[in-house]
Amino acid sequence: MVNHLDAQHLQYHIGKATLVRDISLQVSGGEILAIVGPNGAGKTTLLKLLAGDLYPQSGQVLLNGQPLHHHKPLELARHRAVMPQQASVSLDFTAYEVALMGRHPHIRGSETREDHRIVEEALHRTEVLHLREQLYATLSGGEKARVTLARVLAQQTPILLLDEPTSTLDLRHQHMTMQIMRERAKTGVAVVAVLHDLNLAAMYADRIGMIHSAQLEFIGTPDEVLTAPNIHAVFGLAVEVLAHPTHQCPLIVPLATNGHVTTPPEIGASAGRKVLADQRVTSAPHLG
Amino acid sequence: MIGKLAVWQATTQRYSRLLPARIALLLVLLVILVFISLSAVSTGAVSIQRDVVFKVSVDAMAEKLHLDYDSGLDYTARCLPGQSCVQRDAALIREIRWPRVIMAGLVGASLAIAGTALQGALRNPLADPGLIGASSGAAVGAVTAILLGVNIGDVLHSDAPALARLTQSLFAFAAALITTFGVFRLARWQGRTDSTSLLLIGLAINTMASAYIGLATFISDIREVNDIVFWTLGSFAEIFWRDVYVVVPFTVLSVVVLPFLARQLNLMTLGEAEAQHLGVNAERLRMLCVALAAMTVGVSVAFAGIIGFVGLVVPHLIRFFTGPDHRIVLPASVLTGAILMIAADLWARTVAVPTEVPVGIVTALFGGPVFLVLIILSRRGRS
Repeated sequence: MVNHLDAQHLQYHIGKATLVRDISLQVSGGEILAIVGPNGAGKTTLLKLLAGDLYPQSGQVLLNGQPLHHHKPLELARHRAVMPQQASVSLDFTAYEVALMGRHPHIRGSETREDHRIVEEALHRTEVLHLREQLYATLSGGEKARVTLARVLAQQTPILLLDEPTSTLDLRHQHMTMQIMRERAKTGVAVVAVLHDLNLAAMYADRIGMIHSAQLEFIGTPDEVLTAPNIHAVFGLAVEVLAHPTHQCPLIVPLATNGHVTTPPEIGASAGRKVLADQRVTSAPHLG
Repeated sequence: MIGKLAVWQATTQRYSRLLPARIALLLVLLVILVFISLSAVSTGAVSIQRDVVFKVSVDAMAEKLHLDYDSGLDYTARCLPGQSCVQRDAALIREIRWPRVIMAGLVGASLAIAGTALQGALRNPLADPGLIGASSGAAVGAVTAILLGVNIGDVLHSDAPALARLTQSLFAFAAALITTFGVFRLARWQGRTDSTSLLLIGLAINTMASAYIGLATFISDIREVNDIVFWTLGSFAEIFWRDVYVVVPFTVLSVVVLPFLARQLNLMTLGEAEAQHLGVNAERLRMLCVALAAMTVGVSVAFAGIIGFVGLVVPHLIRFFTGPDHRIVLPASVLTGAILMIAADLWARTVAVPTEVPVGIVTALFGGPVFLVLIILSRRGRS
């Protein structure tokens, strides 16, 4: 099966606020694309456009060459799974029942032994099998995220879209999550993950897209995108990019001047706007 | 590896035991339903022995189905004045008691399944058929018919009192659908329906409806007030077979269709977007549930008036025992709703003989405390 997601000139705005401006990107089976960028840059909106939750005002998303909205919801659910930023469950389902919901697109009638096996395996892989009889609502934030990840894995789709899958996880489970994504990519799955941790993105992603003020500013390999000037331009943070001691990837270390990594913005001037102005001068060939 | 296998088998076994347990629960509820129905038919101003009730019912069914069966009950025994006799009892059982008990069961089942479906589809445990405007809308319709004094009988040149009731029922049903549609339409914004605003708009509409009904009560004469009280507090008095025939198709529609949506309703608890990611057309599911709930509740209220609390409490009661899986909660709430409503009506008409207490008062009287206890117990169970 060809797993290919092709976003073409996506544009999305609510009222006068533009959340996504002319973003085009492709992701294919076998690779992990990380989306990084500051808060409010439009990462989540972009992911929602890719998932089909939102319709772009112009541009389109093609799933294996077909526009996304040509697929029925159930058909779409067999092609792509989406992991939300935080997932609440309004009734008292157990962790196991929540993970089992991931099998819905594949179940005809009633779930089979095979469905149960897949769910057990997913819960085992995300290290929450021991919590399976607990009520989902009583789990900690990180445990919930791992159960939700198990649900997403149990859906067994060729495309995975993850919105900050690691934001509530401890260090070990952040890496566990990304390793699972690597395993899946190796089997031909296409992964798009919104990440905040640039080092995590550097270690696991094949390509990184850096978004700033609704635009895709840079896209390429970690080495190409995660450079000190790029990070300074987009995040407004001085960093040094080192070589990772044991891994073939960049390592980003924030720099401090006089003991401060960041300086508070001047009153009346927004730090974000200032950076954007710098950005336009240096490296923005297309002005919106 | 062996440990993992054992864990897997344990879970599979647990889930394979789930189905028989659920079927057993439904069977138990069914037995209780039959038992309470027979009790309700035998109890009343005139008490009838249960074996007579049973035989008369079986004979009536055999007659309807053209079966060659006879219980051997002697219908020709002479009736002495002031004494119970088979002939009179049989008429009472067949024409008065059974329609009333069956109607109570249908209305209870309708309210309960509508409440369960709405709580699931709107992701809100407070959702209740009353909250989306179906009940209060129906009452407004009926009260309007009473105030205007409209009667189909005038058109048909007939003065049968049943036609006045039928007119009120029609007004109630139409108003229930219009109100629910209005609430739904107002809550719709940019092609999406937000559950919270749906409930808030329902609340606002309900407030206006009670103001209207209060005003109507205020300006009406005593006879009209009696009619209005019937609609706002609910009653199964004066229910006959023809009323039952009208309600049956609506209840059956909901009872048959909604369980097919059970798995999708389970997914809705994850959130609308998440359900959509798993292949549920959330907007369509919600419209379908609201439409079915509005129809069944509308027609129930049209014949029995507003009966509160059943739609809210029954789903919570079932979930407390079975967990939240709609595949068991939906069918179990149908049976439990019917059982509780028949019991409530039985109590309503026997507690203060020769008058009847409005059944809506009974359901609120018992439903309120039960709801409180459930909330406190489930809070304890969680911490």
